Amino acid sequence: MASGKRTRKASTERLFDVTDDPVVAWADSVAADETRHAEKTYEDFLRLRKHYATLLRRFEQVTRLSDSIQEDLKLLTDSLYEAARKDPLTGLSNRREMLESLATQIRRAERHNEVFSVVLADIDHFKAVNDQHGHEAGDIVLIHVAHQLEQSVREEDICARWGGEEFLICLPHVALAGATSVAEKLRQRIDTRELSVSGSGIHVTASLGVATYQPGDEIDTLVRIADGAMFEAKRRGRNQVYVMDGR
Amino acid sequence: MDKIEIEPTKSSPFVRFDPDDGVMEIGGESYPENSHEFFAPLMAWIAEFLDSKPGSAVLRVTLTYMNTSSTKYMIDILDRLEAAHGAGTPVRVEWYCDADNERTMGTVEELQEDFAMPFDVIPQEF
Repeated sequence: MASGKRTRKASTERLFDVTDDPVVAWADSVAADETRHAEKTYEDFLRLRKHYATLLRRFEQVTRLSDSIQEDLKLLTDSLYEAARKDPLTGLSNRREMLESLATQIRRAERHNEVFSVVLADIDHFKAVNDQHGHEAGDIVLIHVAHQLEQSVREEDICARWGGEEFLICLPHVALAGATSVAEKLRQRIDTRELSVSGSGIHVTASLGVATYQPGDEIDTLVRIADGAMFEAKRRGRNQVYVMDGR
Repeated sequence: MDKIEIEPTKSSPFVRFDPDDGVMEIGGESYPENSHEFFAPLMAWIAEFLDSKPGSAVLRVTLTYMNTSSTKYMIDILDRLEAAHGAGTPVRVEWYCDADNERTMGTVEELQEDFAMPFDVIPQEF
């Protein structure tokens, strides 16, 4: 099986215990009562009892096989579900799961008049990290930044790897001012934690753009605004948070 | 009689059986490695509880995944409740089903027809 070798203890207890089955017990008691025997009926009766016991045994085997197959399928389904929604490198949500979360957030915001915000974070000069220290170091930086993001947000917030060195954070129930201060906290945390990769220290920073949902916004609108703000943060010298005016 | 409170695991459901209000609740995902080991103590508790002639007994099922042997044990529990109902104990079953899963709903409704005790099949968004 795809899920690999698992040891599964075989249980010896019967699901269907013939010696404890009411129909079998009844049949036994009738059989034991000689006053109820008519030659032919008695034989038929014993045959019936035998068939019934076989049926129970078969049911037992079917159940055990089903349980075993169902467990394999369940674990496989769970792992596929996980794989389809997580970024394998960083363990964060992937783009697909973030799109689903954003759709849910928008539905909720429309229905209950709620607010939420997104922060788009892009690692500065990431190409230079890869060029200077190699792709493995680049991967370690991505994992490190993902970890910083996860450590700085609340349980209900969702962090995703949005693209190569781009991360999207969704903040339910958080308005623009709150989201801006979360973004600033993220920026500082990334800026102040140097990373050591095989002896050499790597210092990375990030540029962050903030956008808050407004009625009528679609996913694309919201991400485009966060993206524009992030680019403006880059243009203004990187390692900073930017919020678009007029929104 | 003591309460039963079992926390869910990845493959076994949560269980809350309370002799004081007579509510027996089981929910979550049920495909335990050894279903006999899991269900035998529950069956024993239910037998003892029903033998005590309680003022009422409510079984509330909110399982979202059941393997075959778990299903078998759930039906055994229903049989036990039906017997208590026949003996005069006020019994009620509330079986919550995923509203999106017609096949499961249909099967539980078929099961419901086999019993004389009050038995509600309640569609729910899981």
